[in-house]
Amino acid sequence: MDLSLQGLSQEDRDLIRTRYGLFTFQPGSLQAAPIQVVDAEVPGFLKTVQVAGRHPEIYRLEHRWRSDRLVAYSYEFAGWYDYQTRRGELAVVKSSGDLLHRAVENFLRVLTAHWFLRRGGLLLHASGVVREGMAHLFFGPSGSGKTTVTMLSEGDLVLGDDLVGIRETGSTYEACAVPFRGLYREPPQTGQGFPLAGVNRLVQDQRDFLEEIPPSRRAAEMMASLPFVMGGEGASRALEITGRLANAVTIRRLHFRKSPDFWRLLAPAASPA
Amino acid sequence: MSRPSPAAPPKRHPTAGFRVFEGQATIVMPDGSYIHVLNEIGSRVWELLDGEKDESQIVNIVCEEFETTREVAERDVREFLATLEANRMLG
Repeated sequence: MDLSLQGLSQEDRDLIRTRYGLFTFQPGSLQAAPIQVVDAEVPGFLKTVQVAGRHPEIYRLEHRWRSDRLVAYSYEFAGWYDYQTRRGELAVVKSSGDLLHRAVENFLRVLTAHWFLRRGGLLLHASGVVREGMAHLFFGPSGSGKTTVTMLSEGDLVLGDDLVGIRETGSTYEACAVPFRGLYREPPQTGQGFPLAGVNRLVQDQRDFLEEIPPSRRAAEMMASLPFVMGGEGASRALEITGRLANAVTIRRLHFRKSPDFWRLLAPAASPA
Repeated sequence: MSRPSPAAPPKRHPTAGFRVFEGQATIVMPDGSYIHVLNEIGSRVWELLDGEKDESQIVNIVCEEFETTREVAERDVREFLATLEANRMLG
C-alpha cells in the first residue's frame, strides 16, 4: 500500500518521512495513492464516553465500509480511503503538532489492517522475532509479554513488539514489519517478509512448555488479537483467513518464564498439528 | 433480537460469521465484540439452524448422531437456543 499524504506543511511531511523511514517513497513517487489532508473545521468526531459509568474510555475508533470505501473516524480525525480508486481524504482536528501525527498514524493503522485483510493476510497485535531466517510471532492481550519476549531475543531481528503483518504467499505465510512504532521499539527498516515458523499465544507461567489447542480455539484466540477489522464483513473475512492460517501454520500456547529458555521449545519449527 | 415467533424454525443470525474446525465452530458476531467457540454438539446444532428445520427436527438429528436420550436432547437444544437468543445470535 503506497500512499501520498497531501496538504501537509513541509515540516510535517519531513516529520512523517523521518518517522516512517525506509517505508516511505521519495517525493513525487508515481505509485503512491493520494490522500488529501484537510482541516476538519469541527472540534471532534467522537465524544469520550464513560466506561461502566465511571472511567473515560482509553481510545475508540470506528469504521464503516461503503462498497470499496473504508471510512474510519475517532476523536481527532475522520477519513476515508477507496481501495478501488486508490484515493482518500483525511480530516484532522488539528492540522499540525502531535494531534495531527496521532491522527495520521491511527488512520494509517486502520488502512493497513484492512489492506492486509483484503489480500488474505492479517495485521496481528503481536510481537515478531526472526531467528535463523524464520519468523516467530507472539500474541496475546496487553501485559501478556509481547515486548518481554523481544527483550529475551538478543541478537535476533525484532519485526515489532506491538503490530506485525502476516502476508499470504501461495500456500504459505510470511511475517513482515509494519511502519508503526511499537511500545518500546522503532520498526526495523525493512519490508522484507520472513517465512512464518509459528504463532504463539503467550501465557506467563512458572515453567516453559508448549500447549496444543484445538483449531477452533486457535482461530478464536487469534481473532481476539486483530485490531481494527472486527465488525461487519471484516470479522467474517478475518475468520476465514485465520482459519486458513490455522491449517497452514503452527499455532500454540507458549507458557514461558522471564528467560530466553523458551527458545529451546520453538526451534526447529514443528509442522502444524 | 428475538425469534419471529415460537413456531418459526430457528435460524442463525444472517451476518454471523462462522467456521467449523474439526467439528467445533468458531463464531464471530457482526459487531465483532464476541467470539464464541462451540463444542461438538453445539456446533452441529448451529449448522442445523438454517431456518428450515424446526426445533423438533433438530432434536431428531441430535438423537440420531449423538448418544443421548430424546429427553436430554430436547432440554439441551431448548437451552442452547435460549442462550443463542440471549446472545443475539439468531436471526
